[in-house]
Amino acid sequence: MLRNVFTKTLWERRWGLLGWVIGGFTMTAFIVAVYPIVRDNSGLATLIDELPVGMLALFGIDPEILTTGFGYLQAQMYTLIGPLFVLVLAIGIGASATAVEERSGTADLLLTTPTTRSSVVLQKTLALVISVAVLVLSFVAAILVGQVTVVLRLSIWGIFGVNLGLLLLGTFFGSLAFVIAAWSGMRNLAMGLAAGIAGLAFFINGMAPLVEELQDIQGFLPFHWYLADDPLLNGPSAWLLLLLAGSVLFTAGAVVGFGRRNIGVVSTIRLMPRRSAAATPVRSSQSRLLHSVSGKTVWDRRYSFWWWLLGMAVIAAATAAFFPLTVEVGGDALQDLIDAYPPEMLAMFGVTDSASLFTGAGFLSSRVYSTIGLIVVLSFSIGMGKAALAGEESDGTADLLLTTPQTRSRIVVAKSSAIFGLLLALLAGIAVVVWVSNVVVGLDITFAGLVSATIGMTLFAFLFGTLALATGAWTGSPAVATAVAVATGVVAFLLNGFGLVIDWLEPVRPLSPFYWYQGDTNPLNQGFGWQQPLLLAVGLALIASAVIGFRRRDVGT
Amino acid sequence: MTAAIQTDQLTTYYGSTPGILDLSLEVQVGEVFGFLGPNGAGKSTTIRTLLDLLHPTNGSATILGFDSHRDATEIHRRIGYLPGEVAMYDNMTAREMLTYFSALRSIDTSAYVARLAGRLELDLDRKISSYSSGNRQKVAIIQAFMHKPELLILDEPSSGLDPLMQQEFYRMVDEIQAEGRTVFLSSHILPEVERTADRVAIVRHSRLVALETVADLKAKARRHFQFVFADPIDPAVFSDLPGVSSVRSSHDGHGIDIHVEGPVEGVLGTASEYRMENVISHEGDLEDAFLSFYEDDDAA
Repeated sequence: MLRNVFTKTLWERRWGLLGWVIGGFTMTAFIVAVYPIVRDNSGLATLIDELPVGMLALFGIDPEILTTGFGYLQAQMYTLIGPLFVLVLAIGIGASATAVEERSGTADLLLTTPTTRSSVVLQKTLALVISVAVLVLSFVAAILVGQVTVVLRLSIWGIFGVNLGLLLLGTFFGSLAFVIAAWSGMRNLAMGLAAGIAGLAFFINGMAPLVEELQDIQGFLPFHWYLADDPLLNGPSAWLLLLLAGSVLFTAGAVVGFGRRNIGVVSTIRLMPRRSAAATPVRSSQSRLLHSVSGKTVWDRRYSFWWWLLGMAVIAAATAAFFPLTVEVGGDALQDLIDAYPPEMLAMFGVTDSASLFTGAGFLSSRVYSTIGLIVVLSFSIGMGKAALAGEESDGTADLLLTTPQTRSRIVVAKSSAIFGLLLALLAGIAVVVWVSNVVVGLDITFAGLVSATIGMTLFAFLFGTLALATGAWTGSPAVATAVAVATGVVAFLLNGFGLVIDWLEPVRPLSPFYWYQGDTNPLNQGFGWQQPLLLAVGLALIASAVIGFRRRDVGT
Repeated sequence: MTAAIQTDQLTTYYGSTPGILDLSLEVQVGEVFGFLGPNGAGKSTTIRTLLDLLHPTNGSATILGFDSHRDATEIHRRIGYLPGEVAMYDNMTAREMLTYFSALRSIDTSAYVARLAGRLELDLDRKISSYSSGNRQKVAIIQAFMHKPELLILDEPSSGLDPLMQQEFYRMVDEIQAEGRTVFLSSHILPEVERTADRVAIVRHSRLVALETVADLKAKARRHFQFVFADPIDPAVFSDLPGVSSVRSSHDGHGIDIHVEGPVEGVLGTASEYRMENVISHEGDLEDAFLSFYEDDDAA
């Protein structure tokens, strides 16, 4: 397996890929398994017949085919979840491909072998394509099982078409991340920029049916190229050539960029002016943070914090801005449609209260405090949690930190409180944006509701951050810490959704932190009760467990 | 008086492989103690156990009279540690990182840090990621010295330093000793240990194989003689003499190359029975002592 750069890249990702394959197959199988319930729901079909066709287009729904295997999979699998899986994997690989080797110094060894830089880029790109292909094949496998078991009635040509599109979509954005990393040497920049562009393109494409101006530029959006002309129905479309061309272009750019790079020299992008070299150490407010472990934890995120806040502010502001449009198009009719959706399907998307999806508070809450916003905030929190202890251990800096007179318990507590503070600050920042939007657009959000959602989401995200922190404290592995926190999150999410509709799951549903967080309503309407203290208590219990685990650890083993 | 470091049957497994086995040694206050051994012998495992980064499987250690595990915080307050593989916060400048670690020790070291940086010719206001490995090592050295600890535990301290900086570093170690403080220094650079240490311990395959003063070790070291005789000579004459570890013929049969351990009277007495034209004697050094420990072991 270690004969060349290509196989070595796949080899070192083998366990990660296995995780993606299991996750991809399970998720697709879930979606497929719910299909018969939708198909056999006659109420839904009747209702759709009564709705104006133009409005249904907004959801990518063709009334003739919503209840067919094609319409169902297109809407539930290939519009959001499939691309999300593929893009996270592809952008992660593309951004790390050369940047990580540069940062760790292994690029020096690799590039002084007789392998050319172009060859390194091409082999790593090939590894990216194969990795994405493996993930896409896990979707295909689940769908083929569905063909037989729940009779999806899809054409093989169509299955091939849409999954080829997905592969090319992943390659497109993966190679976009790669070209940025190849020129800059900065993994985070590549990841952030590529994800930002993908998110924006997805958002504009999704809103295009609502806004005429957007329809004019839809032809320029990679998401449009991927699903245009219904590849699941008709097989591969010519649009896919654009994704292919883009990928080739980016890869060529990466070859050129990496060929020109001074290896290991990172062009630092500064948000703040550089302090003069003669500055005394303890003056500025920034270095005042360096006087404690908690302060240093905040200091580490003094730049990235603002990017996270900016991202969330964009999500909140854009959601608020589009709310009036949605109402104009026919919020009541949309609400009827949602009401007609089988609860199983809603449950899968975490919708436990469909009653208010098209009120201002419900509309905003569903995007900012559930779904997209929730994924962003949880990523921020879990990222901090795994870096806190396991990250220092795997970087080796724990040796220096733990030989200062700070007890391990104090370090755990200090890092946890910094994580809590940063989460609270992030959520408070989001609350300000939401409140301003509320005043400008008129969303009917109450101040008390906003406060409860802010505190609730802080505590909820904190729980998953401390879960990652505690797992890291026991294992010393950032990867295990992330995996445990993410897997727990997914299980808790599904438990809360499906506990509502599957009888035997109902008794255990109250065990899900998602249930504590949003219950049967949305976070903006949740109010205060036993839920917040419970979220906090579990977070604190996890910190206590982290203290125990971290004190026992043989650091670096 | 309390020993600076005392270990009793200290055993630490690193995962399932032995790191160090049954280590018992004592380092006195005020001493510069060298800890020698080849790569993978268990030096770093021992040090990291002393510092409570690893927990012993068996046995115990006290540092400055404190239990290495129970009183770890008290110990950390009094020691300075230079890791063998220095990992630091790459996203900080050296000054920022040193400020941070000073704060965690609740002590203002800025004046002394500035002096140390001057001595080591280090610019403190660059990002740690941008330093060469030599400059990283300087940051790590300052980090270990800046709070004037009672005991310095240094793992391969001079690696990466240029010869001038090595000399400066040795002077810093001398000053520590002159002030009555203690240095525990692991190394495989023998001249460094010879230059700085009073006593050494040698570990190999996770076990202590020697614990002696540098002077004793050198005295015991293998010595190397080259004799040249007027007439051809048979090497077998020397091979059975006490302490002789190798004999080789040279100078077209007129010469003898010989390694001797311990007392040399036997060899010199025998040689003087023949007409000797020249003799070259090499003084035993630590390197010979060191290598002889390894060769013995290889033979075993």
